[in-house]
Amino acid sequence: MYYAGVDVGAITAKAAILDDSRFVASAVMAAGYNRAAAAEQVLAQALQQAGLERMAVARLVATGYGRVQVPQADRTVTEITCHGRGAHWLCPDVRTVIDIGGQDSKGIAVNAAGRVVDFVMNDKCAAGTGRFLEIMAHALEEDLERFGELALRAARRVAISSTCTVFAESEIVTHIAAGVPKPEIIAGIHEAIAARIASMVARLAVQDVVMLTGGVARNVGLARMLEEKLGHTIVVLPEAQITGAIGAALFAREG
Amino acid sequence: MSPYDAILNDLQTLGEMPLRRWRERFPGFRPLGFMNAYLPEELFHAAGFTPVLLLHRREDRGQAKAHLPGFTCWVARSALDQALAGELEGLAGVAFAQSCDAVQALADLWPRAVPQLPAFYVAMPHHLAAPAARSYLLAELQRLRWRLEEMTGQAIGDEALQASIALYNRTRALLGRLHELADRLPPPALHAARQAAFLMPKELYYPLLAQLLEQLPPSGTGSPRLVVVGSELADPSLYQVIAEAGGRVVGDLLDLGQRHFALPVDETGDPLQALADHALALLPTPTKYHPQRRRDAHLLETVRTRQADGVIFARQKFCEPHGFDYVMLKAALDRAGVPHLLIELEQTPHVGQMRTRIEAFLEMIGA
Repeated sequence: MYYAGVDVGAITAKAAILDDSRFVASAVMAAGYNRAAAAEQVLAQALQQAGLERMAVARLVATGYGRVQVPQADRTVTEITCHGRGAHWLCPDVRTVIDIGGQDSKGIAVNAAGRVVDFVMNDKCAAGTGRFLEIMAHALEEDLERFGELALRAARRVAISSTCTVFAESEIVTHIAAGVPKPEIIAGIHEAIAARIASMVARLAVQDVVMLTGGVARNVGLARMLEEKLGHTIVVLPEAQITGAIGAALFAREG
Repeated sequence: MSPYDAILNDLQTLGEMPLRRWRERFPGFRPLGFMNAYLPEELFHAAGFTPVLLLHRREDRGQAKAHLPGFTCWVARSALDQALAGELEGLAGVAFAQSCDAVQALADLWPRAVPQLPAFYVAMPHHLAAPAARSYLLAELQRLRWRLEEMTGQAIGDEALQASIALYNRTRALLGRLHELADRLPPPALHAARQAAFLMPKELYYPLLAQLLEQLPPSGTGSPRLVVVGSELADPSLYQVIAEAGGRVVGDLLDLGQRHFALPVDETGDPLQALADHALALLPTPTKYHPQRRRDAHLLETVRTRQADGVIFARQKFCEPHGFDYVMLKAALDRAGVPHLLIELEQTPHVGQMRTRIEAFLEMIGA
């Protein structure tokens, strides 16, 4: 039997397929405007990868902001619960999950059984999210994929004091005009986001193992600076972006 | 449609009803707007007015921002915004009882910003057990009585005041019953039923509520069982989201909730003194203090007696008193091992984000 989890986030849609014991396949794509279509498509992609028909999926659980828009979902579970569950399945020693998505960031405390015991969430503004990085990468004409690496190359970091994305962008324009080397600005941007997320997550009792999940986990610069700010080693797994989808698939498997 | 649904539908419409419609709906009643929990409604009632709670509106024209800073809670700001937009024309006046800085500021600037709507103000003592609190509040109510008598040209006799108190007490008793049976109503219905207590003439409200109570479903559905904490009754979307997530509201610590109706006003002695004593005897709101009546102990007791699984703090953004109160209540809940969730409410609620938080919280404490 196969079980699917679909995580429709603010920017990307993710699907994961499990069988009764193992991870089978996954897919990631842009969520776009039509969330229902994106959910269908990303699931179809994952199924194709696994060489399965839609019929083979015994149960489907949807999560993420677009969870209610996923057609044919047997049930919905919030991304908070799914990230906690998925992270625990990937690494049973995990106690703190930091999920940084396109439009918000979350800190999740889980217990030894993988159950969420507390969470914090930032959602009122884009500073501290993937969107902030996207906007800044665009302003600096850099590829988002290597943005984090560039941040680690800087000898110094400029201070970005604005906590608002729009004002931070104009602050960056000022630094560009002043001739500050690009890596230093990029490093400053990462540091500002890391500081913001660390202060939010500090409202939880941060315990090891700390895992970073969500699309922004792919940014090595941010993971490194978050370690600095939190004073904890951070685990980033290759499955970081699909952790929520895996969690949803686990709930599908439980029935 | 069953009579139960008909009454609820009717009560639900009151929350969004413009004043113009209100006056058509309740001819012969003279509405007077008010804000917050400490207003002696009976005194205004005895003077011939119908106190109506000024609810916030989700739309905001931004006019109040010229008078109040951006960090003023939007419950206060929305009242001014509505007044400046002319939506409160037809009210006999607006009454404030001292509670927080935002309401204080609103009361201070009202006569200049909205001179056409007379403002009334009651300075409520902060230390409810202070030696002077009782005589101070009595003098304050006496001052208000004179002001109302001057305005209407009619004396407010003790008999009239006693009759108003009796009417309000009848409503209090029924609302006490509603709160006891809270878990039998879907959360949005509970919200609509008690919010209506502040929005329609009590003469018409209490028979409706009595009818509603007779027809409550035998048992409610939904779990976990939640207690809601906050200032006003919170935006209806909160109750809707809780219901959709499968939760049930079984108790509250809202300024205008269960605590507000918990005690009757004494009907035997001097009515004005009875009103003062009543305000001092209720469980304090966060801006007030009473050494024996602790809000944290009261909340834990509510959680225990209502067999609640968790607490939701519904705090209006920029509401400072409830922000300070949260620290104390949170500590008490943490010590007792009661899970809780803080929801910051915006004037226009972000329902999607609220839903994610509430669903995740219910997933966390359920099962």
